[in-house]
This record gives sequence, structure tokens and C-alpha cells, in this order.
Amino acid sequence: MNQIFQIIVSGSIQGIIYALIAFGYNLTFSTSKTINFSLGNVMMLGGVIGFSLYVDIHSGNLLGHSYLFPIIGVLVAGMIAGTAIHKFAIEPSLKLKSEFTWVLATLAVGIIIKNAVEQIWSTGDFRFPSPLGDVPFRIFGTGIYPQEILLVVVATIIVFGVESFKKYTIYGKAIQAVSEDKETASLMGIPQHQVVRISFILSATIATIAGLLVAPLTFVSASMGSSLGIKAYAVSIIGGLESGKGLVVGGLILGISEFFTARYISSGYKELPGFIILILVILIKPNGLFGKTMIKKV
Amino acid sequence: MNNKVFKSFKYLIYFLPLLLPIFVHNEYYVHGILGRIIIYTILVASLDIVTGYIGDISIGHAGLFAVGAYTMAVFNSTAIANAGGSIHLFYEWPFLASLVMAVIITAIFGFILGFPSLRSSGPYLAVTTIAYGIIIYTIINEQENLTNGTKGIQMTPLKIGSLSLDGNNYLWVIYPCLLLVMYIKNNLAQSFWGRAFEAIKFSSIAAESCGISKSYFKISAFVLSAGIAGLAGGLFTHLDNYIAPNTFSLDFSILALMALIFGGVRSALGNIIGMTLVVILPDLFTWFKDYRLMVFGILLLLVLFFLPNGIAGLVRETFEKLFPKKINTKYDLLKLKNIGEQISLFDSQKASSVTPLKLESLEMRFGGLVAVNQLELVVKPGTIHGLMGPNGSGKSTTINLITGLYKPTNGKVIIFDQLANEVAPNKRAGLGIARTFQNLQLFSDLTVLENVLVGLHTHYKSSLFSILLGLPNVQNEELHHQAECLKWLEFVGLSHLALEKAKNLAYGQARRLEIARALAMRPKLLLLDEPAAGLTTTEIEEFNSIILKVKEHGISVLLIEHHMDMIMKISDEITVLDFGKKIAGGIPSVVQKNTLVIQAYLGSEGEGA
Amino acid sequence: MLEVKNLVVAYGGIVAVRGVSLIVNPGELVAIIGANGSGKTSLLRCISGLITPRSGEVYINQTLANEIPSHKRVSMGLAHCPEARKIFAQQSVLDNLILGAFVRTKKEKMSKIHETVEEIFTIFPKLKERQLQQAGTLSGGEQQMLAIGRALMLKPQTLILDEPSMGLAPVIIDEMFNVIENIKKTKTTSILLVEQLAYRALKVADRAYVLEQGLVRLEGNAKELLINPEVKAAYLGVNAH
Repeated sequence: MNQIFQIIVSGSIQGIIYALIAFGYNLTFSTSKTINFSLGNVMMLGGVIGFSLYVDIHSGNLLGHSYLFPIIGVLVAGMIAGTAIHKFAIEPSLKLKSEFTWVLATLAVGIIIKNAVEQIWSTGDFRFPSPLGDVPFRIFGTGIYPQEILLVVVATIIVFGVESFKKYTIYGKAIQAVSEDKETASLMGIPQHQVVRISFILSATIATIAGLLVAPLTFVSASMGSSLGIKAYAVSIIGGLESGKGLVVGGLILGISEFFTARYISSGYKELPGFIILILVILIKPNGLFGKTMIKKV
Repeated sequence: MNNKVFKSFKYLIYFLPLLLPIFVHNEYYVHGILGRIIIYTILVASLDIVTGYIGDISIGHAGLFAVGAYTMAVFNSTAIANAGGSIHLFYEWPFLASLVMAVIITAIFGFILGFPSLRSSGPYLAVTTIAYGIIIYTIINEQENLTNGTKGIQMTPLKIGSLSLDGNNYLWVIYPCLLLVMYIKNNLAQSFWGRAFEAIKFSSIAAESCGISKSYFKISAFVLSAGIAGLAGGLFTHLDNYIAPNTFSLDFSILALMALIFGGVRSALGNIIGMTLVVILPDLFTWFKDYRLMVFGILLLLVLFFLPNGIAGLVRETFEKLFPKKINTKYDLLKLKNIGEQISLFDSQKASSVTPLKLESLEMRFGGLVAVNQLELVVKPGTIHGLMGPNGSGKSTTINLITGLYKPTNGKVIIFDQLANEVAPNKRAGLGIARTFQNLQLFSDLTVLENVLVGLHTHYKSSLFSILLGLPNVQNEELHHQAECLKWLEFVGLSHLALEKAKNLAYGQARRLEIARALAMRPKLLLLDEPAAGLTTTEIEEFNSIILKVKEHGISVLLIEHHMDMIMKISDEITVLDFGKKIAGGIPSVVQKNTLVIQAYLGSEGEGA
Repeated sequence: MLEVKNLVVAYGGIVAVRGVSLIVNPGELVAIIGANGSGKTSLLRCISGLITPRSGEVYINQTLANEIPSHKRVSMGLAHCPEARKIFAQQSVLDNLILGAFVRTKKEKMSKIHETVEEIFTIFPKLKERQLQQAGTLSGGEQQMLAIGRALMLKPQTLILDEPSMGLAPVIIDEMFNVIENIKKTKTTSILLVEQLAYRALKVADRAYVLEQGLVRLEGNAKELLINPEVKAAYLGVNAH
């Protein structure tokens, strides 16, 4: 019983990590109708930059300065990455109006980021000590790391913060207007290109923050973003892009199924159920569990 | 004569690489590099069928490649080569039998992969292909008693009698396979199958209206593509006589996709150039080996934005600029004209006395909205029936009900005495109806002639097998049909533009092309959905004469039109809709004076009238 | 206020507008009438910058606007209420209205904008009842009111209305034209009205242009056009006599 509880808690935390990055996918999808395949590597960039500003890579000891440094570093990196991805991959792709230019363009950006980090920084794996320490709490016999609690809290703040920004401010409403109907939005005087760019900056910044938060729970490495990025993408699709509810449900499905499979079947198979569920969901509901069906007009 | 010599010379060149193993003994370049290029190019060709022709992006082809490779390994590997591993059962089948097995089993995997593509697209479909690749990758890593897990499978080097087919000599096995695949792919692309693929890509609704079943052709494309990927995989196993799971990761799927886009889709040359670059670039420029992926990434961005048709596209465009006369040797119009003299149009469409179309108390509701309400309409044989009404009066819904895009919530659609409520859109072509579209739905990258050929789709009889092998009867049928299509183009006055891409046509010409495509289906009832929208007065005059000519041949026409001038002039009978209801009907001169009609159109009776 | 000179609009192979010139003076209500496919909507989309013309000029307040992107034309006092309403279906009625005043929020306080919202509510009392409802759940007529209200939120100098009667029941159409007449009476906004329902439009307009196949076939005083048999001919295909 206790074990199942532990699996559910750990799985949910994993699911929230996925959901947080998936939230980044949704933000840019709603305004640009593209998926930014480099987002996983942007998250990795957050982990690596946070690490470099906090830990000495050679000794593994702390550099000794405040945690504020990595936080600021990660925010700046996110904004730069978001602007660059929009400028060099998304904007030219949208101009071409091709069905899949953006897929390859963002994949290419992801490859460039990863390769650059490998060459400039390191190809190794490093441990990132949590600023909150590594002693787990015990709640009803279930262990939770303080870093995990921090992650859940920050993720909740980010999601609610962005959602209320969209709901209650005029700029947020403008973002929603652009995602619903670009042309009419521009008839309201809303500069749609700027809105798209802002969504990419926001999305990349969320990803780098996620990288900083996730790093102490895993290892820091140039490849830490690849599979996380793909799984978060899967989560946003299971839930249905543009659906907030879907993110959480999708994240929990994937996270918990992973932990159950790892515990009761084999850790090698832990990713399998999630991806099988994904394919089944798409077969039954082509736009995800909570996605809106698009009506094509002739 | 000269031409013939030139041609046979060209074919000889194709086979030249087979001499390499005899004269070159460098293992690294022939076996290592060239061998890899050949096998990977087969994989890119398979990806091209799905991504280039059908337009569905696949980021999971490494998975299919793996299925082929492991099928070969499981059936062909020997106990001696794998002593001490986790596999206990060795089939030790011969190479060829295992290769056939690899193709078949991978094709089955492709069949499954195809289903999500029927209803999903874009980011939703891309992720299912990724998931599919990852699932396969996980299974080959973990199913140790089948795949030996991460330790991989060792193969026994190939041999026929005393002739070794290992090392450089393996080229004798794989190079003919590459030629075969390119030949098959080319035959497929030139046939009505290839056109059906592209038709679905540009407009699946128009394709279905031409009698093309989207599900059948999409799934078939995935099966064919997977079969070829399985072939590539099966051949790969013996390249190094060893396979292990890490070759088949997501990165490899991405690499194949990159090669396809680098080279340019829908081109054998592009497939080869793309993969060659991916394989040899890092070898040529050793200084960037560590930065290999970064350079690829940047190159990919540049190609995407500056060469949207890939490197093959650039080559083609340069060639066309240098030798403008050589373009489009694909169709010999003079020859087609000669063949066409024995073809008479409208032959199979003799007028009948059966009522072409009857709508009985037809009703369509969307939620609370009644878009079509108790509609009664009869198109009499051999007449032009006009259907008119202001914007939002239910005209489009009515045509969608007749063509099967919507199923009526009540009432009956009867086409040539058959109740058609439940008949799928692509099956309605078989009932004898053809349509045009209000917003043009042409296959824009195909030529004008090819657009009309898509209309003839259901009249092709060649089997897929004979198409792939390029048998002579396929060519005869194709020529005959091309000749017929050229005549249809003549009928609408477009034959001089037969080889032009459809997207380059002026608007009025595009409208006429849609009619030609619809006529090529040899229908008995023609549905024209606002054909005059956006046309000038003279263009409308020309259009009217075409429609009247069609009527002369006994074909009935349902003309949905907003343009009063046109509908009044050529209709035999008119039905007027407003708010989904029939508000008037009868001969034009009567309808014209109907006060309800005037009110619906002008907002009031008008003091001047 | 608004002037268009020799405008030619083409997209794809279609030349939708073949050289149209027109002018809307301050405080005037000008109607453009014509059958489906005569180029009315293309003309409007070009005026508000959603498409670029092949040739010709668009002037907003005497400024050549050809190169100005659509969202900046809004700041010049041009509000466009598009064909088929195009309300933001997933946002509330109130949010739709506030978005209409998006460019005003940069210079004015929110309280000012809420004042305008109240003004709109007095014109369309139904919107007030439903202000918190999702706009997509409104009926067709209410959506049209919302679309007009949203355009008015800008306090525009020039208001473009594209087929406000489309798909509406006759009673609602009456209501809609009453509203248009009332806006006209304020004399602060000039209106460019595109309509299929020719006679309805001519009754409220000062001047009108009859468009046919992308060309101006007739123009002049609206009351005179109302009794001109050629207008009817353009619509019903009957010969003028």
C-alpha cells in the first residue's frame, strides 16, 4: 500500500515536470500553430547555465554565491533563446506557409543547441546539489525531496500566473485573441508578430526555469533535455494542445504509468505504456483528450 | 537513332558502380561509405513516399528500419555466430527468404503506423510517429531473448558458393536493390497511384470527389513505404554483419528526414544527394567532425529557407534554365493528339431517363440551427437546374449533403434511383456524379493535364503490381487516358496549357480546369458550385457555352449560383432557397418576378420596380 | 477621411478589384452594394490592410497608408467590423468589447474604456445582460451586435461594416439598420457600409457605389440610386428598361 502511494507521489511529481514543459509547448502552439521541437534542449540549457553559475564543474563544490545568480542567468538565457528561436526558425517558417518547415527548423535549432553545449561545455553528467538540501521529508512513510516540493510550488505559480495574466490583463487577452483569430486580432490593432514573439520568449523562459528546477533531481548533461522534451510533447498532445486541464491529466498519466511500469514490470519498459496510450488517444480522439475538433470548411 | 544510343548509354551508366568492387579495393570508401549511402538512401526513398507524396511527416522511420534489420537478423543469423547470447532459437533461414520476411513484417508495422494519419495531422501526427519509433526502440533493447538486447546480433558473412558477398562485394547485393527501389518509386509516382497520393495531399476533399478513397491510399502508402524501409533494414544487417539497438534511435529518424529535405522531396536524385551529403560531409571536412550536428543544423536551416525544393530542386531549376527545350519530355502531346483521334468523349454517358437527383424532405441540423429545412428538389434528366439563394441560405449545406460530406439528419438524397444517404463521398463518383468547388480545389503542383487525369482515376484498371514493375499494358492504358484528358482540355479550351502547373493558371482558366476534371470522371450529373464567382462578363459567356455544350450531350447539371445573370440565362428550372427553405421554384422568367425572391435578394421590393 | 484611388486587388489568379476609386467624407455614410463576388469584401480588406493592393492607393486621413500594417491603421481611427462577424468566440462578451479598445489602452485609463463599454451597453442592452457569457454562445444577431459594438469601442473616425445583415432574420436586420442610422446621427463617425441587401443599404446611406465584377458600375446619391432600375438589373439579371 505504502509502495503504491510512493509510486503515485513520485509519478505525479514527474508528471508535473512534464506538464510544466508541455505548458511551454501550448503557449507557442496557441499563437503560432507550431510545435517548438527545440524546447527540450532549451530546458537543458537552463539546467546547464544554472549549474555553471552555481557549481564548480571540476570539483563539484558550490561556487559559494547566492542562488540568485543561476536564477537571473536562467531568466536571461530563456529570453535570449526564445527571441532567437522565433527570429531564426519560426518567423521564416511562417512566411513560407509550408506544412512542415517549422518541424525541421525547430529540430535543427534543438540539434544546434545540444551540439554547442556538448562542445563548449561538456559531454559529461554532473550532479547539481539542491539549494534546499538532499534530505527527503517523510510523509506517511513516503519520501519527498524538498526540491520536489519547490518544483511543484514554482510550477503551480508559473501556470496560474501565466493563466491569470492571459485572463485578467489586456495584453493577455490580446494573446488569446491572436491565438483565436490572427486576422481579426490585427483589426483590433493588436500587433500579432510581437504577440507571437512574446509567446516564444515566455515559453523558452518557462523551459529554462524548468531546467534549473529539474537539474537537482536528475543529472545535468547536454542530453538531459532530449527525452524530457519528447515526453512533454507527448503530454501536451495527449491532453490536447491548448487545453490547460489536458496538461495536468496528460502529465499524470505519463508520470504515474512510468513509475508503475518501472516498479512492477521493468525499468527498461517504463516509457512504453505512456507512448502506447498516446497512440491510442490519437486514434480515438485525433485532437487529444480535451482538444477542440476543428471543422474544415469547403 | 542517336537518341536510342544515348538512352542505352544512360542505362549503362546506371550499372557502372557494379564494377567498383572489381577495381577498387579500398574497404573504407566502397564498403563503409558507399555501402552506407546506398542502404540509407533506400530508407530515404521510403520516407519520401510518406512525406513527399502523401505530405505526412514521419519522425519514426528508424523504427521501421529497425524492424527490417531485426527481422533479417532473427531469421538469418546462426547459432555459431552468437554463442553465449540470450537468443536460444535460431531459424537460420537463407538470406533471400529472410529479406522477403523483413519486407513483409515491416510492411505490417507500416499498416499499423498508417492509421493515426487518417484523422490526425500536423503536430498530432508527428508525435505518433515519434512514439512509434520509441516503442520499437524500447522493445529491441529489452526483448533480449529475441534481439540479444544491447549486446546486438552477429551475422555470418554472405556467400554464394565460393563467391563472397562480404565487404566491397556486398555492393552487388545492395546496389541492384537501390536501382529497383528507385525504379519502383518512379513508376509509382508516374501512375494514377502517385497522382492519387498527391491529390490527397493538396485537397483530400477534391480527391474524394474524384472517387479516391483517402483511407485506402494513405494506408497503402504507409505499407509501401514500410516495405521499402524493411528492405533497407534487412540489407543493413549484413553491411557490418552486426546490429545493435543504438543505431535505431530517434536521432536516426531525424537524420533520415534531414537527408530527405536536404536533397529535395519527390526526387530520386534528391534522395541520393541528401543522404550522400549527410554521410560524407563529416568525412570531407574532418575539422568539423565534433561540430558535425551543429553544421548540419545550420545547413538545414539555410536549405529550408533558401532552397525550399532542396538541392535537387536547385539542380532541376538550373538545368531548366540552361536547356529550356528539354523540359517536360514526360508527355508527348503530338502523340497524344494522334491517339485521341480515335477517342470520342461522352460515349459512356448516354442520356438516360432515370431521374439524376431527387431530394425528399431533406433536413440538416447543426445543434439548434436548421441549415436545410424540408427541402424538396428534383433535377430532371438532361436539364440544367439552378439552385440559388442569398449568402447563408443553405446552398453550400445542400451541396455537401448531395456529395456526402454531411449526412442528413432527416429526409432522403436519391441519386439515379439509389438512396445515397449513407454512401461515402468517394463512392458517389461511382453513382455518376461529379462536382466542382466554390473555392477552387485544384492540385496546384500537378500539371493541368495531370489534374484532369486525377478525374479519370476510377477508370484505371491496372493493378498495383503491374504499375510497380512498369509493365507495357500500364503504359498503354496511361497513354490512352492521357489522350482522353487532352481531349477534355480541348473541350474546355485549355489544351494549349496542358503542361503548365495548375497553380500558374489564371482564375478563369482554373475554373474551366475544374470542369474538365469533373467531366473526365464521365459523370451523368454535374454539380457546379458557384462557378461564376470572380469571373468577368466575357468569361461567364464562355462558361455558359461550355455548360450548354455539356447539356447537349445529355448530361444533367445542377448549377448552384449567386450570379443572377448566369443562372437566369441557362437554367431550365430554378429552385430558390432562403433560411434553408425553398421559397420559390419554376422556370426562370417566373422566379424572377417572385416578390419573395426579390425581397431575399434586395432587402425589400424596391420602389423602382 | 478615407480615400481610395484606382485600387487593384488580386490574389492567386483572381483580380477581385479592377481599379476602384471612392471617397468617404467626414460624417458621411457611404454604401457599397453589389452581388456576391463583385469584389466588395476584397476592397474592404485592402482598405484595412489585411491584403496589399497590386496597384493604387489607400489614404486614411490624407495619409498614404499602403505601407502601414493593419494593426497600425487601427491607431489612425479606422475600425473594421469584418464579414461573418469574427467575434472572439472563446472570450467573454466584455473581453471582446475591451479588445476593441486595445489601442486606446496605451494612452487612456481603464476607467475611460469602461465608460465606453457602458455607452455600448446603452446601444445594445442585450450585450449588457450577457456581458460575462462566452461570446461563442450568443445567437447570430447578438454576435453581430457584439461585432459592431467591439468596432465602436475604438471611438473610430471611420467605421467599416462588412455585410452586417448576413445570415440574420429580417426582424434582426431591421434592428441592425436602426443602429446604423443612430450611429450616423451622432455625426462623429463616418461609415463605409458594404451590403448585399441593396435597398436596405441605400435607404440609410448618403451616397453609394454599385460594384460589379470589381468595377464601379454606378455611383451617386443614394436616394437617386434607389429608384434607378439599373441597380435592380445588376442584381436580378433583368434587362434595364
